[in-house]
Amino acid sequence: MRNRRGTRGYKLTHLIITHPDDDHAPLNGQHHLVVGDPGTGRRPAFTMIQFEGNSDRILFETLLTVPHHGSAPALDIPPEPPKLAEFLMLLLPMKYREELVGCAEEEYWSRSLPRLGARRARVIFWAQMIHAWLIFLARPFAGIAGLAWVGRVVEAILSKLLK
Amino acid sequence: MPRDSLGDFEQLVLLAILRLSDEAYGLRIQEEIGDRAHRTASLGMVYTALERLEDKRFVSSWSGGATSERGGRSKRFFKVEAAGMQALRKSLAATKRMTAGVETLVGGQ
Repeated sequence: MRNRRGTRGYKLTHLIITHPDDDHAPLNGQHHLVVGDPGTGRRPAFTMIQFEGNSDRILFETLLTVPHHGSAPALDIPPEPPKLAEFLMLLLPMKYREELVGCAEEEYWSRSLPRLGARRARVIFWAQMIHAWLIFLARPFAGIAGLAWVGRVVEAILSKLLK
Repeated sequence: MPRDSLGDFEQLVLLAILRLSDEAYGLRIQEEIGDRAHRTASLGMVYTALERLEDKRFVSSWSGGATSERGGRSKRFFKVEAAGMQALRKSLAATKRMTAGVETLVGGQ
């Protein structure tokens, strides 16, 4: 649906919710997504709604606000985590940096975004990256008060955001 | 700090791994420490502690499956090893011995 890894490559241009009574609607009561340009018949495709995680759940919940048989431009797709922060996290010289980024992304989709909204979720993602770098940089200079102070400030911000 | 001793945060991480058993990976460990110990820990702190504990051979890890929610990245699960259990017992016993007789002052039991 969102062209993320492991999904099929349709271009999502409009979102249409079918009605369960329509003949083209599914029998099992589930909603279907029509992917393609409505009315033109170009590349129409019905696809089952499959939740691959909270990001898809949020997208589906957004879809349910579209009026019956109406269509809407696909503008409300939740924003991705900040790519630059993700890239900078991947530069960390840590053994498990890939897993660290994975956890930050999981936190973004499953915890921060549904609870706090996109803006604060992105701030938390950035704070996670900055704190990870500060911890790494502080290791050889553990005694320098200034660096520890900066770390404590980021920790306090993170703590406030996560409450 | 001696190689076989545990820091305060390392102790929390080991206890969180024990509590989570098969579900012990970075984010869950961070949540468990937040929920139980009421301590905010960043993911960087958790992973730094995990790498240090693995260097000391107190924990071992293995890679799990990738999920789309994690941007296709896999989870790394952790397990406490015998040396880790021993260090944890020693550390908790030391805390218990030090607390004995001053429970009322420190607000325990």
